Amino acid sequence: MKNRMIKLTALLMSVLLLGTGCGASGGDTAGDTAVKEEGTKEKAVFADTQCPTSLDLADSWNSWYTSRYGITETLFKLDDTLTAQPFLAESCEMQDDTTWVIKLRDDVTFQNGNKMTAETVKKCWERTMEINARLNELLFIDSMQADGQTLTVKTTKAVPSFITSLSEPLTGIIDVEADGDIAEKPVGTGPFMPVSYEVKGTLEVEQYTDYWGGTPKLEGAVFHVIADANALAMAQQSGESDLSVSIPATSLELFEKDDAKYNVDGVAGSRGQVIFMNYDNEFIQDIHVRKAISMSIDKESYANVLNKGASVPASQLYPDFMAFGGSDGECIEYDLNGAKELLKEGGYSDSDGDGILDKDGKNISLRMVTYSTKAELPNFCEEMSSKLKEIGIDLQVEVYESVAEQQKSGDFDLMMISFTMTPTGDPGYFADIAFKTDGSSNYGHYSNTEVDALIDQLDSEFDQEKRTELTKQIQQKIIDDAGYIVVGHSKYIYVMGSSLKGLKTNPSEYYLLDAEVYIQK
Amino acid sequence: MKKRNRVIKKIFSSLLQSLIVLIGITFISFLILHLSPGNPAEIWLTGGDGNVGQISQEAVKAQEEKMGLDKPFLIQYGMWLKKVCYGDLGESFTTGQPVVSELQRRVMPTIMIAFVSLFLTMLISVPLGIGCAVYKDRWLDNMIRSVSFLGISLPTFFTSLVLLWLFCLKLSIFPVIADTDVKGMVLPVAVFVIQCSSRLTRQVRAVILEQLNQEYVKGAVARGVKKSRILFSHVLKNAMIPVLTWVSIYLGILLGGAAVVETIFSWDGLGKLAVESVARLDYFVIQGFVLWVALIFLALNFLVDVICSMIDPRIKQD
Repeated sequence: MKNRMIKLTALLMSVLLLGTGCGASGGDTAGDTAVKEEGTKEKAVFADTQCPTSLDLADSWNSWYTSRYGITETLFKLDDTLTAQPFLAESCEMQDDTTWVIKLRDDVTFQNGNKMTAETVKKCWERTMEINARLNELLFIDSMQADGQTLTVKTTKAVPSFITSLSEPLTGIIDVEADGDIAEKPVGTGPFMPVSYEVKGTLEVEQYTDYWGGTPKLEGAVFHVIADANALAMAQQSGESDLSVSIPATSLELFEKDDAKYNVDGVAGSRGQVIFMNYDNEFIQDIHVRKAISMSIDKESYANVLNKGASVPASQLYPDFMAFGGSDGECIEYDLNGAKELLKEGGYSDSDGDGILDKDGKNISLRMVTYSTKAELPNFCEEMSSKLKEIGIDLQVEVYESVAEQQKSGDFDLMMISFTMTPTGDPGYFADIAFKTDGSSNYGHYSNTEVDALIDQLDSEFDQEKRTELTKQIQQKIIDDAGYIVVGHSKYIYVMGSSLKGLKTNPSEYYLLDAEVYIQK
Repeated sequence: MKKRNRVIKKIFSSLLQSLIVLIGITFISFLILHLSPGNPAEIWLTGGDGNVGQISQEAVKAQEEKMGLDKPFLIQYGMWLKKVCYGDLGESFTTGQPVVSELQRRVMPTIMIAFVSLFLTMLISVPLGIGCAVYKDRWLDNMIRSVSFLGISLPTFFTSLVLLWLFCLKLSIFPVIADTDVKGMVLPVAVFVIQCSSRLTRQVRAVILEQLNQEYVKGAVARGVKKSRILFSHVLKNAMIPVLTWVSIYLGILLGGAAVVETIFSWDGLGKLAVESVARLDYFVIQGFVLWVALIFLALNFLVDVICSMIDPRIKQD
C-alpha cells in the first residue's frame, strides 16, 4: 500500500515537472523578443482584444487585420474623409458602365522582391473570389484582362461604388505564387512582413526595406492579443504595450488624465449605433410614436456622458464628417415636452392612470433588443427606456449575446446594433441593404417608395456630386419619416504611449501600422 | 479462470458503457449546436458582427456547401463520427486547421496549469483541513474557515484582476503580456489554488470530522491508542476515498480549461479555445473539446475506482 502511494506521488510529480519543463522550453515566442527589444525600443508592441483567424486575407474578415498590420495594401486607400484615393493604383477609369481600366503603379514590389503587375493582381483576385464570395459582392467581377501594368475589369452590372470598393481590404494584393503558407506568411506589398505568427495569438512583423513608399521607420512590431479589456488597459499602463486598440470607454479616463505619459487619439468613423424599428408593430407604424421616440434621445449626452466621448452624436443618419453626412439637413431635436405633445396629438392618453399612454385600450409597450458585445449599446437602451417612460412609453430592454436570430425572425419592436454604415466610404451600400424596401438588412421592413426610387437612382449614378446630393435627399426623407434612428458614430480609439509617433488616426477601421510610425527615443 | 473471465467481462462492459456515454454526449452537443441560433457559414462571411444583410443568401449557401453544412443533421453527425473513428476530428471552420492540432496546441498549457494547481491545492488543503478538524472551533479553525469562505466567495474574474493589478501593475513582478511558460503560469495557478484550496480545505475538514465521530475512533481512544496514530493510520485512510473523488472532480474541471482565467491572463488553454469556438460556432472544435472533457471524466472515474479499490478492498468486491 505504501509503495503504491509512493508510486502515485512520483507519477504526479513527474507529470508536474514534465508540464512545467515543456512550458519553459516552449516559451521563446515573439513576446520574449519584444521584451528583449524594450531597451532599444526599435520594435513597437501593439495590443488588441481582437485578432484574425489566420493571415490569409481571403479568409473571412482577416484582410482587415493584415491591412492594419501593414502587411497587405489595396489599390485605393481611404483618406480622412473616407474618400478613396489612388494607392497601389495610379488611376481607375470607367470605360463604360461595366468596364473599368485600372493603371497600376510601376514601382511596387512584393515583400519577396517580385514586381506587382496587372497579372499578379488578377491572379490574387481570382484566388480571393474562389475562397470568399464577399469579393464578388464588392466588385462584381465578370472578367479581367491583364496587360503590363493595366488591368481591365468587366463587371456583371453597373457598379458605381467600384472605385471605393477598391479600398476594401479584401481586395488587398498578395503574391499568390510566392513560396510558403499564405495563412502564416502572406507576401504582400505593405511596409511590414510577417516573421512569426501563432494562430489567434502573437504576430511579429519586420520592416520591408524595399517598400515602395520608402523604408519604414520602425524596425518591426509585435501584435499581442489580450482578449480581456481590463488586462489590455493594464498592459498599456504597465508600459508593456506601446499602443492599445479597443480599450473600453470606461477605461479611457485613466489615460486621458495623464497626457505626459499617454496619447489618446480617436476619430469618429462610420460605425453607427443604429436603431431599427419594426414596422409590423402597430405603434411603430404610427409616425407620432416614431417621432416621439426619436425626440426622446439626447444624442449629445449619449455620446459624451454615457459613452464618455468614445462616439460622436449623429445629426441625421450618415456620419456628419462625410460629404453626404446630415449636418446641414433638418434633424429631430431632443425635446421631451415636444414628444409628449406629439403623442397627445396622435390620440394617446393615459386613460387607466398606470403611467403608460394608451390608445384603443392598448398600452404603448415595446420590446427593444440589443447585444452585449458592444458595451455602449445596453447602456444606451437602458437610458432610452428611462426617457421613454417619462413620455409615457413602456420600453423593455432585452440584451443578448447576438441578435442574429431576431434579425431573421423580426422578433423585436426596436433593435439597436452597431453597424459600419459606409465601410468603403460609399453611401450606396447601407442605403441598398437597410433603407430599401427589399434590402437584406432592412430588419424592420421600413418602406418608402420615394426612398426606393432615389436609391435606384443612386445605384446607377456615377457622378460623385450627384451621388452626394441623392444621398442627402434619401437621408432627409427617412428623417422626415422618423424611419431610422442613428444615435451616433463610434470613434476608433487608440491609446498610445507618448513615445509612439507618426501614427495617423483614420475614420476607417482598415489602417493602423504604416511606414511612418516610429518610436521616439 | 472464472475470475479472469469475470474481469474481462467487467472491462468489456465498462468500455461499452464508456462508448455509449461518449456517443450520447457528442450527439447531444452536436444537436445543441445545430439548434442554437446562428449559422457558422454566415459568421464566417460576416465576421460574426451580426451584419448578415451585407452577404447574399447565395454566398451563404455556397459557404454552407464548402463547410458541409448543407447536409441533413444526422448525415453531418454520422460523417463526423466516422472520421473520429479514424482519429480525425475534422477541421476548424475559423482557422482551417485540423481540430486535432488545435487541441494539441492548447492541451499542454491547460494540463500544466491543472496539475500544478491541483498539486499545490492538495499541499495546502489536506494539512489545513486536518488541522481545522483536529482543532475544531479553535482560533486556527475559525481563521481558516473565514479565509476559505472569502476564497470561495470571490469570483475568479475578480481574483484574477486583483492579482494582475497587484503583481503586474503595482509591484511589477510579472508581465501583463505573459508567455505560456512558468512565469506566465504563476498568477493563473494562484487564482485556481485560491479557489480550489478554499473549497477542498472545508471538504477535508468535514470528512475528517465525520470520521473522528465514528465508533471505531471512540473504541481506539478507549483502548488507549495514541491520537496521532488514530489520525494518521485509520482516519486519514478512511477519509481518503471521498477526498480522492473531489480531487478527481477538480482535476476534471481544471483539465477542461477555465475560460475566464485563461482569457484574463491571455493563457492559450482549452477554456479560451472553447469560448472562442462557441462565439464563432466552430462545430468541430467544440465537438473535439466536448470529446476531450468526456474522455477526461471517464478516465478519471476509472482511475478513482481503481485507486479506491486499492485503498478499500470492499469496493473491489462490490
